[in-house]
Amino acid sequence: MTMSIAPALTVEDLTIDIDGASVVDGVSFSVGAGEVIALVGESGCGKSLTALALLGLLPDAARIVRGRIMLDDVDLVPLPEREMRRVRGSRVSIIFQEATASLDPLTAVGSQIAEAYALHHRVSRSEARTKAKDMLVAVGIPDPDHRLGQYPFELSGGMCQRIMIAIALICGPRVLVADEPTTALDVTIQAQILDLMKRLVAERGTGIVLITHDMGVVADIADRVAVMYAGRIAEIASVDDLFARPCHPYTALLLAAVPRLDLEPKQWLATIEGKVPAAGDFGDGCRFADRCPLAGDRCRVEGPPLVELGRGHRAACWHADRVAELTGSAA
Amino acid sequence: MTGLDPILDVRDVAVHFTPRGGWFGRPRPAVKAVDGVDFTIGAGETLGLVGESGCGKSTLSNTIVGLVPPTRGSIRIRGQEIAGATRKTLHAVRRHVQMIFQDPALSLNPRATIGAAIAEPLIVRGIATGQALDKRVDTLLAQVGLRAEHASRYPHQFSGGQRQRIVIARALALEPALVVCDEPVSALDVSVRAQILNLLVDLQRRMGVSYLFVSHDLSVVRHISDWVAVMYLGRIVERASRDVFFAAPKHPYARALLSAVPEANPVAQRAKRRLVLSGELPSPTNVPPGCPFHTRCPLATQICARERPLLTPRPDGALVACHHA
Repeated sequence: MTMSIAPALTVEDLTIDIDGASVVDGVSFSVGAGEVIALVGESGCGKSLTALALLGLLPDAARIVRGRIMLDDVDLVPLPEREMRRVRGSRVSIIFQEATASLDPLTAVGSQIAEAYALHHRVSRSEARTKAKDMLVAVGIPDPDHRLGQYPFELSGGMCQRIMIAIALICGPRVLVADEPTTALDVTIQAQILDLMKRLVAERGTGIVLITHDMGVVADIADRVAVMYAGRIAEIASVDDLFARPCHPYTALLLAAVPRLDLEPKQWLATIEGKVPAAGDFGDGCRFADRCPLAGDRCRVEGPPLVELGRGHRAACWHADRVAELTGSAA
Repeated sequence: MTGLDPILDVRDVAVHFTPRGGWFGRPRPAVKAVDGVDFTIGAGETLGLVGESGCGKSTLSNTIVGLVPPTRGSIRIRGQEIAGATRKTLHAVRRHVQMIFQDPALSLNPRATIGAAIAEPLIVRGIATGQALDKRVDTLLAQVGLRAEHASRYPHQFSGGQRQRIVIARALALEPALVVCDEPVSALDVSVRAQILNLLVDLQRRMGVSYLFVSHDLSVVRHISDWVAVMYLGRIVERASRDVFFAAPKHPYARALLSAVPEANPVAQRAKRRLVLSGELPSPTNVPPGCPFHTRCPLATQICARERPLLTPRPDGALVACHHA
């Protein structure tokens, strides 16, 4: 929960360019063992690119131009692909939204899990298979002997996501990157998967970088939250601080835009006018300025730095002290 | 659900699909996508229809707008029967019921200007031509928060939220009494979703339109609905007014569904005791006998495997189909 010991993964000043535009710009955060940090934001905010960068899986057009990704004491950014392959799947792994699409349709799931282990360990087939079976039990799949021989099409979406989690965790990675892991699932299945992730984090001490747009999922599972807007971190805080005292106008409006079970039905929800600036049109000022009800002259010419406002609570806004005005008591 | 003249009256509606071409022509079991559903929607009201994938909610909405014929039962829109109706009657009734879908990009012709898209229902019905038509399109655009000059642009020139506004404008062109909304905000970003929900609420207040609002998201359903119906494997298992439902959901499935919704409030979320359902949804080709939910239900006893529970009224007015709730 806290950042007392050395974090498992530290991202410093990560900057990713596509066609000369910084679509991820100066992003820094860390995740400790057994901690869940959520990267939140709307489409195009750079959260998924950040996630892919952690695995060395950026698309060809994207380039890391600055920054470090420290996994314990190794910087992953300059690692050649050969060495990155040893890290990927073993010390950092990833699960995606479409679990069914991430699995090989022509290979039994047992072999896919065993392969993930055998790639990084010198073991016999039967040892790898035993490991795979133990892992199936760990991710809560009943009747593992039978399931090992099944193919992805024979399994439901929730079951496939459990298989993906088994593959991702079988080597005991320091960090699991989870890119919208429950978005495609029904709520009752989502609840099962979130509970599973919480349990595995606690048992194994794996740190999770969770990419999501769903504030409910964030509230359920995250310890800390980084809100991203147009490639930058707008605000980062513990989950309780962020929901109780948002200090960036974007965070405050985003939270007030979500219909909640404890608010008056049919009331007017907060909205954010305009749209995210296109990459390349970012300018020098705050990237949220054009849509921000608090924006003044300074905001348009000078980008605000992320400053510490409380213990571990940082926001990038010149008017952080006025954010509470935006939503009145809603925050 | 208020007493007089409901806009939509659905009685014992069932939709069964018989798959063709089994193994060597052997018949395969029918998929009972919807199996005996009743509800009504009054003028200016919203019924939120909730359920998970495969529960039949989309089939039911397609049936109500006349895209899928019901196998059994009656669907009346403003008193007019559409089950088994002739093409002519259907054509007349459809003016009063419109539909919007999850993905507005798929609902718009990419080669037609949005002005043409919105004008089309008016032209088809011979309601307006020439300048009157243009004026009507401008008014509709204004009603959904777009500008008159947008009429000459194409769908790809708009964002997802704006396209959903365009689709809503087209749905409103004929001044329908009922709009069936099938997951209209599920594909949208949070801030845009709020804009569309605000728009739907606002249009209902101004025009008195009724909504059948199909969604898997209970927070959204609570926000927009006056009444709530929960579907499981083709049947409604609980139906109640919004406040009664959210104060005390009774069916074990409804309770599990509500407890599974992650709330955007970490303190409340931690305090919540989650009813985690074991297992997964059975296939609709093979609905369990008795209560369809008994295979996953924490309260199930022997009677549940034998007898299908009927929707029965409870003291607070909720209708619940459960032997034990």
